[in-house]
Amino acid sequence: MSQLRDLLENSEEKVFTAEFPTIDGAGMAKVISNVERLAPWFTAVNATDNPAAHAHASNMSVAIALKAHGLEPIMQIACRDKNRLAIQADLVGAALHGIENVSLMTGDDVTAGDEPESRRVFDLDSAQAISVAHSLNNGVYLSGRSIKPPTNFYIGAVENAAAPPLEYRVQRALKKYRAGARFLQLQICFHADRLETFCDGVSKATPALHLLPTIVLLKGAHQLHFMNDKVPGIDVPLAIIERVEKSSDQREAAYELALEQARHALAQPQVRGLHIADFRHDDTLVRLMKDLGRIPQPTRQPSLR
Amino acid sequence: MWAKAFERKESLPLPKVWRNHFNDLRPPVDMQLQGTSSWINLLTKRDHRVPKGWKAGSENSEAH
Repeated sequence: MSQLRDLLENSEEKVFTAEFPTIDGAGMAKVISNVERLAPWFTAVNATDNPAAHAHASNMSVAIALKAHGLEPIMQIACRDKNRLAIQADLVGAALHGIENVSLMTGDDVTAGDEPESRRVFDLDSAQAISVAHSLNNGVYLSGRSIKPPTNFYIGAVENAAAPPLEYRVQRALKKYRAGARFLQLQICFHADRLETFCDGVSKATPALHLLPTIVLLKGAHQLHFMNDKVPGIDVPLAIIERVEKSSDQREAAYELALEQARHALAQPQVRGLHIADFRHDDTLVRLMKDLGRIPQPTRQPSLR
Repeated sequence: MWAKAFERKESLPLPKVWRNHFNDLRPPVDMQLQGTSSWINLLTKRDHRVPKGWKAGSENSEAH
């Protein structure tokens, strides 16, 4: 059983996951240095699938490398780039390498990336992809062909609590739950009231869908402007931007904002931990973990099954 | 796309039961039907056909 599943399903312990940096040209050395940096603090990390529609080393290759170096992966699969055959092949291939955590998402449109001329696929949407992963857990491909033994994925998804239509976000999360998702990593949310409403709505509907809101570590107001202007689905209130922008120490103000958001998120119903996206790449990550009362975990041994 | 669909179903004078269909888990689109008549597919129920493995993963609250 994956440690992520074990902690979320069988304990009360807070669970922390992180976005693993994208890998382009620095080779395995970059993977190893980031594993060493993140492993003491996080139960599992996301092996992303062309995030924001930018090509990088593949989700599968990074997930295999993470597992080989002792850090549990959550392999993301985006529907933007692959049809149902490729998605099922990715899933069964991941199972072959002992990858147990998967997170399925529709994916940002190609226009969000640096190759907007690309063909979109979207053969499945996120709920359908989750359902397909669940079918594999029941020993059946989408075609009806059987798999023996079946896969054993712990299935996750993503949701944005802060993007309109707000009244539908809880219903959409529950649709993913009905399809088979058991944990949701939430998009970065700069509206505390919207996060509260979302978590409250999910908690009233089911206790079995675990929420991990994302907290982002930023360097200053310019990154808040960038997220507000360029990242699909993210809205940063002007008051928050000005709070950091007008500070005499923007880095410190951005950190204090993240810490405040983390504490607020952890206090919400159904929230079982946090997902951290670090855009600072300095020692602030360790500072945040310590300020939240995290104790570094002993590094796990590499695991090749 | 789904956000547009949500707004559209909210703006149309539909019965509540039809509006709630928006939350149903839909099977994947059958690409074999591309270029064929949607009316004929509706009347012959050809568009009701779903992949054999679809049921195993759909609407299961006891999922893994």
